[in-house]
Amino acid sequence: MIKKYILIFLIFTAALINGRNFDFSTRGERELISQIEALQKQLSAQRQISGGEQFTTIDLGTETEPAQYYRVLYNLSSAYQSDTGQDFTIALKLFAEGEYGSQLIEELTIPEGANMYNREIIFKSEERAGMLRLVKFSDNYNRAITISNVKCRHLTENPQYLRSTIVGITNESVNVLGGDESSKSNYFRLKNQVIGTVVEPQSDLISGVDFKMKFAGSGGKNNYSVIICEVDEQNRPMITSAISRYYFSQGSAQNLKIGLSLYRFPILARTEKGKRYFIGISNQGVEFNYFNTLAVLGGSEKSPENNLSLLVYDNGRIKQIGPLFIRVYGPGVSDPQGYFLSNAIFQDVGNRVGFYDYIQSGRPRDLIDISSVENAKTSDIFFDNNYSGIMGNAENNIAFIYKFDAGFPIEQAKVTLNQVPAPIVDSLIYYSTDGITWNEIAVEKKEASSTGSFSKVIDVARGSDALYLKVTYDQGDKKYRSTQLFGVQALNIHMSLFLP
Amino acid sequence: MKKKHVHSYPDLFNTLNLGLVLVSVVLGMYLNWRAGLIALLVLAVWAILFPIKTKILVKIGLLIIFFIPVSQMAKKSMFAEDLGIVLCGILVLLVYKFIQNARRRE
Repeated sequence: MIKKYILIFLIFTAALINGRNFDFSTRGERELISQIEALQKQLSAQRQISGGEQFTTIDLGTETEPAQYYRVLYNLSSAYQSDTGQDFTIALKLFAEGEYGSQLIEELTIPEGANMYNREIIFKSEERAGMLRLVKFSDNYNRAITISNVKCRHLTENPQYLRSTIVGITNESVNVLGGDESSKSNYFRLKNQVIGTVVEPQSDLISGVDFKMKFAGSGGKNNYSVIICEVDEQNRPMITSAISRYYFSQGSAQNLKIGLSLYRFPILARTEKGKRYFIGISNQGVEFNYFNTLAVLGGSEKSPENNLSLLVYDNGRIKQIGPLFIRVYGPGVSDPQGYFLSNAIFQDVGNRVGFYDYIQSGRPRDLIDISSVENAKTSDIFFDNNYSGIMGNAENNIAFIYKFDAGFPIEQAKVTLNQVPAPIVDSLIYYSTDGITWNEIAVEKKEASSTGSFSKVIDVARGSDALYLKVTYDQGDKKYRSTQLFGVQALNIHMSLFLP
Repeated sequence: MKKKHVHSYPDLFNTLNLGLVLVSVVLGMYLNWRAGLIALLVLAVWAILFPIKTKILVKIGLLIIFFIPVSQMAKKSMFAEDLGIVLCGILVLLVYKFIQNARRRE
């Protein structure tokens, strides 16, 4: 008799412990998510050499003709394997591959954990080729190598007479190394805790942070956040006035996983060289319990020199913990004056024709490309990692403006972008060649299920070197939308230039 | 003369059992579960407290099997999914009852 009541008590207890963490999405939602993921994969066109594989191939986007010059730009990244205790470089070879053979076009090495953007190869094609083959040598640890955003252009002149290519960000490299060990799991056991470490960045910008983490059970419901904040004289973090936050859950963190227990967060923060900052993970707002929580990995030795890894409690109490595994990344730029936008590429293709391309990366560093804001502080415009776009609050006529400075007279520009899906307020887009007179680009109103994707070709009167783009919101649409935000996704500008 | 109502033990247990079924509904709602999952919890608690006859379970199961495609056709896919969850619970109970009956026969 008593047995069945014990059984029911156990069922209720189990439901109370784990029940908060059931988060079922409907079939429709799941289908939508898989469609979006498939689309993103297709758009980003990336291929990976993973595990024990030795090579991968990716579409060049065009077929090369024999005896003609071509320029290929591509992004390359390698996973950080760690636990080996040392940094390695991996040797790679790139081939242009056609039906009848392949041609070696580049040999390079990439340090593990590095991101390279818009690497350039110029080559004279020997055969017809439509694919690029990336082959890996000298890697005993089977690190994953990813190649993406391959762009190939035909050059109509001998490359030695052409202007050099300019790209915004050329790489993201490690500028602060934390502990190498990941033997100890520092679990979140209480609410409103922060686990992190004090670092001194070597660049003016942080564009990414690696942590090693382990989710227990479902990890808890709602979002954790990576935070960057300043520290006071006693190296106590000023968490309430964080300068940057990046939210993630166990589900969304799977897209950030780059190695065993290793996650790379694309968080952005402007920093001052020589100043100290605290970078950590906060569980504020997470519904969790002992069985469904998160651990940040690090070493067990508490007192090596320069270790300022901390566990911060809700009441401000601070406990020193063993050195956390952390990597902080800063971007490298090809234009030291910094007028060139981080996602922009300038190319000379010969015969006085040049191209200026701007391709939004869908990462927080897209924010640094905004040149000015209207009726708002810069902090009112933010990167939203749920929508991978730049967003602002739809109030007080807020607008944000891009200035695409090509440096040469623009002949024609093509603007392509997505409205952020409903329930976000519709955006209004304006362009200008002087930053004073604005012309509206008629944008289709988005329906519940569409993203409102559109493109527009603008003929620019010769003489202007820059194109301005203003994004604001539709006042009339505000009352129909439940989320009072506006923004743009997947902004893509292609401009043809006259090179005198 | 008015009869004084006295609770017998079976009455008390029945009230307690019904109370526990009610608690399972409240618990499911408190945990913000969807209907199918609450129904599954109620079914589990009910089956422990008031053993359900195999015949009734089979009838409910057949009804659900009939209603799943109907609700799909009526574009109520979320409801169909909830029914599916309950059906899984019923199937588990049926297997349990089958094993119990086999043991009894032995």
